[in-house]
Amino acid sequence: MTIASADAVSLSHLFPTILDTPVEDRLATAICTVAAEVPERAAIVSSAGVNIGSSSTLYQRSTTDYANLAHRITQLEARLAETRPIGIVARAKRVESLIAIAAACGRQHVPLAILAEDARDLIGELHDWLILDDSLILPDLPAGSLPRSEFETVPPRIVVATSGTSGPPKLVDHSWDSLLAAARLSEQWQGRGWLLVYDATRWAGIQVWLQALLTGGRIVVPASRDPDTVVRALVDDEVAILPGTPTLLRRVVTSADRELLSGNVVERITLGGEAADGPLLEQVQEAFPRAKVTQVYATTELGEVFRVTDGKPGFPAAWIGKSLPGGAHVRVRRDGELLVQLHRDTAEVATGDLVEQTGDRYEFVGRRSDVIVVGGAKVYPKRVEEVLRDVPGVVEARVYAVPSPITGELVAAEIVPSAEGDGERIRDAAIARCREKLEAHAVPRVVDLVEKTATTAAGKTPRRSR
Amino acid sequence: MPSDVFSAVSAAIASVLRDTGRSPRPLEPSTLLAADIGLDSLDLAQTVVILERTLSVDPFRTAPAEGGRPAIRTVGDLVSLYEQAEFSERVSEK
Repeated sequence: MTIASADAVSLSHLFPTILDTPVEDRLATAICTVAAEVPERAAIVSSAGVNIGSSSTLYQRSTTDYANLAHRITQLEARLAETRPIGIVARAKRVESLIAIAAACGRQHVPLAILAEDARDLIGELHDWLILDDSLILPDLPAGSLPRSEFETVPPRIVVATSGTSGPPKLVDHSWDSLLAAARLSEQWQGRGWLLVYDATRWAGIQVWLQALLTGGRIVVPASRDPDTVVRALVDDEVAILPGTPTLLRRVVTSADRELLSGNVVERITLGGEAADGPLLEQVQEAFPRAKVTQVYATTELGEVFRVTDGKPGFPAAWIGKSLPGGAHVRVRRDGELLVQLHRDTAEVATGDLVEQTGDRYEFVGRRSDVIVVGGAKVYPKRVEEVLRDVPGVVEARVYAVPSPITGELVAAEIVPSAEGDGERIRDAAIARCREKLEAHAVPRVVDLVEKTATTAAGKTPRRSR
Repeated sequence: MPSDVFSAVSAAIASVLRDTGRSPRPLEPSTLLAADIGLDSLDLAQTVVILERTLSVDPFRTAPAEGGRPAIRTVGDLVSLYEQAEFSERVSEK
């Protein structure tokens, strides 16, 4: 049976089975149910999108099927049942190991911490937790050497770290309930291909692999974030659902090979992590004509707050003060910061996101921490980027702050010039356009030509230093 | 070597003037940054960032000498600021 025919099998009882089990058991149950019916169905495709003709042996596309994944989970579960650690810190580099650890810990009611690379220092906060790496081997412990988890009485915690986009990463406590709150178990999502470009240890990445495996789907992990590699992974592995940051999507639509891109069968694009502007939404829709584009507003602390599906930037002003689908309330403070109350009985949270009303919409102007302060005057980097991207010959732009002993900070920019253009001339034109359109303090004073703009580990645009 | 710093400062100012649509002009150590060439604080901040890159020293990172940092009014003030920074960098390397 080929991958394609294994995918075509419909598992009509998958969702009833999952919904019948406790929430912390669902990931393991879903994987084992699919494994029992279609063992050879691909669960994870790693290093996807590598050019077949290329001589690079650094990355080799590999597939983990459901049977293999289920086998790893049940083996690890047996060891967890014997050892009963007080908690497990997943330190796996491979997505399949991370998923096996999460599924096994869930069904065995063992608390789990999933820490991204930059949050490893926080491990000290988790006393006596055991570290599990790609070997999936639990250390043998003398009896009574460590406290054991009270797995029957305490709901199993899940600890994840924030991305550290604005401030150092910190640990956030979740439960399987909050982790799975946004998962959609409907037939239309069964057995589909999901692109995983996010770091699998961060909130956004965890959401993608959870949703994919709970619906018997296939996770496609590209070998890199290089636009052509991503697009080859999309096309070759027939990805239907593409979750990504606006920064990543912008890179794909502006830099990837157009002919290659035209072979995509993407049906759904979910933008998150950053605000998307109008021109980007149009470009994405044009490059992915069959795809429905959804913008998700979520944070690691709150989870998903709302989704915007009308293809326009920001959200309708009419949403202010109303109860949104999912129960959240949003409000805008006088200084423009978006406030969110998830449920009636939870506290209102300041999101750090600044919005501005334009007609019947609220649009995102940037993170509070993104604001560049030049001699006391505020500059929103997103606005400057919009001006730069509008200059003929500018393919992509990133605006960030550099420290200055004279003005506190100074606006800096990276520009990707078009391949056929004269870089220096494009740079001059970009500066001239900014001087024409922006106030003096907002005009980038450091403008560098680059091949690609910098991104963070979370796939977002960094706003401080280079 | 003082002449190196002077030419680096001249080049930095020339590129600031060019970026802001003004034409470069010959500079002397006594040329006044504000009155003669019209550099404002943003222009000066840009000049400093360029010099930090080309000379690989940041005179503002080290603590100012007794009595505070001298005012930067002329091209020569800027040159001596960077010469001193280069000098103390060399001393601290030894």
